[in-house]
Amino acid sequence: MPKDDSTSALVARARDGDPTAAEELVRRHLRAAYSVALAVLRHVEDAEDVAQEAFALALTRLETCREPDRFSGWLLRIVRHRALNAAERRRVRPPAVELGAAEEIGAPAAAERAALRGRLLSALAALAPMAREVVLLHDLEGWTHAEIGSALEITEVASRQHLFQARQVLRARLGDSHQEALHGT
Amino acid sequence: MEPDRLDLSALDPSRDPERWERLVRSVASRGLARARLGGGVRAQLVAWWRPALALAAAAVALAWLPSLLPAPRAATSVADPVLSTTSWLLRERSPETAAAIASIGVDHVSR
Repeated sequence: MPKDDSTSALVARARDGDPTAAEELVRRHLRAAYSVALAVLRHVEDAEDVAQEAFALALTRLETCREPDRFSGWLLRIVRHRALNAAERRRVRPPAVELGAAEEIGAPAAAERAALRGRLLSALAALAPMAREVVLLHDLEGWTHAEIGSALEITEVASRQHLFQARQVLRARLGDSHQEALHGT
Repeated sequence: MEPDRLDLSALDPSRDPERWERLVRSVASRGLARARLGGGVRAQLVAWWRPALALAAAAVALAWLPSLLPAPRAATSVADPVLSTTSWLLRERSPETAAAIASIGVDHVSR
């Protein structure tokens, strides 16, 4: 009999200490956790660190997840809380300094990618936090508006509005020189 | 139908699949290890909580028990009036006032 791989089943198995289920949960939701952390922190490496730490913490508190089928919303609340704490701690360190992290500079393609990342982060900084979460979850993570609405506790219409406004701002910010960052899907 | 989608792949942390998979495993194992540790502490607390509670309840019951039992009646200073009167008659002696009061009780005297 095949194992139930629904999120709620994975949560139940992970709660019982099943490493495969825990890995699958992380595999499915870590990018979303990263997206929310990135929306708050606007710094790639910090967002990765916070997403990992928050996810590990969430796995230790699975018994407090009262609605396992709404695991993503529960997880993202933990991530957002941790990210806000991290942002508060590093308040003296302006995120703009971190934009365009130059760790990949060395190869031309890597340098170009780092520069592109910097422009994207700079443009994202112009958005409201909720709009950043929506655009990252939708355009980076590939979530639907229904999924975003459920996880962020907003309506689907609100999610669409946030995305529409976010894209307008981003397009204006990125400008004509950045049209390569936009493509139809 | 969705309109244009922004290409945010430059921000995608999973663009290196091997690195991402290592990260996924690391987060899962870290989380489970912590959960086991936390679960162990919780299990110890639960294991000790019940006997400790039972012990405390027994101690309270032992301390409370004497108050539930009927207190032994204090020795009355009131003598049995029949015996006292019989004794006085047999000895042909009139009782002293205090003894008479003691034998019939103060309550009766005050009324």
